[in-house]
Amino acid sequence: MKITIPNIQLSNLRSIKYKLEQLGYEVIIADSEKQIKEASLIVFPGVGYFSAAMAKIRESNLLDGLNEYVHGYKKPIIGICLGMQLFSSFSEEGNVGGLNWIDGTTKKIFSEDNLKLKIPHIGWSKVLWVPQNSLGLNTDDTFYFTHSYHLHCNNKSDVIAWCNYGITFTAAIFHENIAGFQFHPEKSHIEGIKLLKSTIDFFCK
Amino acid sequence: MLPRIIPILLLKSRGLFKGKNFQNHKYVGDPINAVKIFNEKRANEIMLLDISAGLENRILDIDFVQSIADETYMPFSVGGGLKSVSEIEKCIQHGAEKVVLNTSVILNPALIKEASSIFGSQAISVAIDYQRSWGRIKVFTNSGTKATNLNVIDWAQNVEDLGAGEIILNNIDNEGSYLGFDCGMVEKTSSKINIPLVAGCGAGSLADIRDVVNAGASAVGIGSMFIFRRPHNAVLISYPDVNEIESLFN
Repeated sequence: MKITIPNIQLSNLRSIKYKLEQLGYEVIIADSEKQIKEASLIVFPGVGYFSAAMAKIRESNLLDGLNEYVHGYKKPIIGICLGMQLFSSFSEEGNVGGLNWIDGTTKKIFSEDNLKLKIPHIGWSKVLWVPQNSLGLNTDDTFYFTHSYHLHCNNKSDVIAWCNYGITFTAAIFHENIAGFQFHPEKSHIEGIKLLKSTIDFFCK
Repeated sequence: MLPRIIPILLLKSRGLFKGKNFQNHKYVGDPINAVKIFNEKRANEIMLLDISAGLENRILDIDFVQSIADETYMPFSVGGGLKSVSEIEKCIQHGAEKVVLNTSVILNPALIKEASSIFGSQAISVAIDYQRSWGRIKVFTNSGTKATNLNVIDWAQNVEDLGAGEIILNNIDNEGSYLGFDCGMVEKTSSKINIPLVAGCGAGSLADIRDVVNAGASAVGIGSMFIFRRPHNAVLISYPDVNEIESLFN
């Protein structure tokens, strides 16, 4: 199985590549539109400020290829943290449009009931999986979150897991060929790596 | 959500060091080994600070950051001499979840704003080191060697307003003392800010962790207690298991 990571410097691509290789996958870091179009599964990691990240994606010359890959070819992509949020239509973080692959808005975590809620949400939180979700994921494990914004999906059916921190927000999504995690599976010890592997294997079966 | 319990490893270049009250640092061993052990013990997060980098006008070793990222499956933050967006970017692109800033942002507070608007608030932590000096509490810079006239709470609020995502509060007087955290200062500071506060310096027991969390800390930073075994301070890396942590807060 070959995994492609677009070469957009939104996070540490090398160590994600290394970790996926340790799971037995072949990994390429794609620099060209051609490589994106030829991919069979894309992992899209990201940390950072939404509008700054979008600017980097536009500068990368991979955007057309990514749109074609996701919308035209309908091939699988897995977003991690900001990577997933970037799939949304719009973000309050910088007030800009996103990749518009998922019908939803990236919003700041805000709780009317708890104005003293500490933001960002940083730490290990329990993820509540929707029963019989499309990815077949169902664990009691906690995963590592670090974010101030969350993805509000307009179609509830796109949400396959929730998390509670002041509010209830999206922890994971699945929509046709698109999956995403708000938490960091690659930084969540063995449980996180297992979850990443089972998501990749879901798309490859 | 349980509070994060964060081992803090102090480095001088590629060596692991530990002192008391920010002084008398002794070589403890190879930090990569220590990090691997904390990884095996499933630490919640880890913090690596090169305490001589700023004093020597360099930044922490980026190849070292990369090897930590490759060999661990937990989030970690790094600090040491960082004073520009491009240096912060290097740390994040080499796998750190966030950076810890201190001296550079006291000299140039605008760096917090600039960096958080690129990397997000969650990637920017600011450490505040303070000490009682001539009856007053003062914020110190340059690894605790230089006093400023900043007030801890005012500076913490300022840091939050500029866009930092977290504050690490270090009472220099308590570092390596095992006497417990400065719960009073944690309570006063935490109640004035809306970003998480990591209490550092002074942990001697698990009960100390519970006390400072009850005072308002979202996380704790721990050095000596996880690196040494008392009474003779033999080097022995330890970390509580999840059941111990859970039972503290039930």
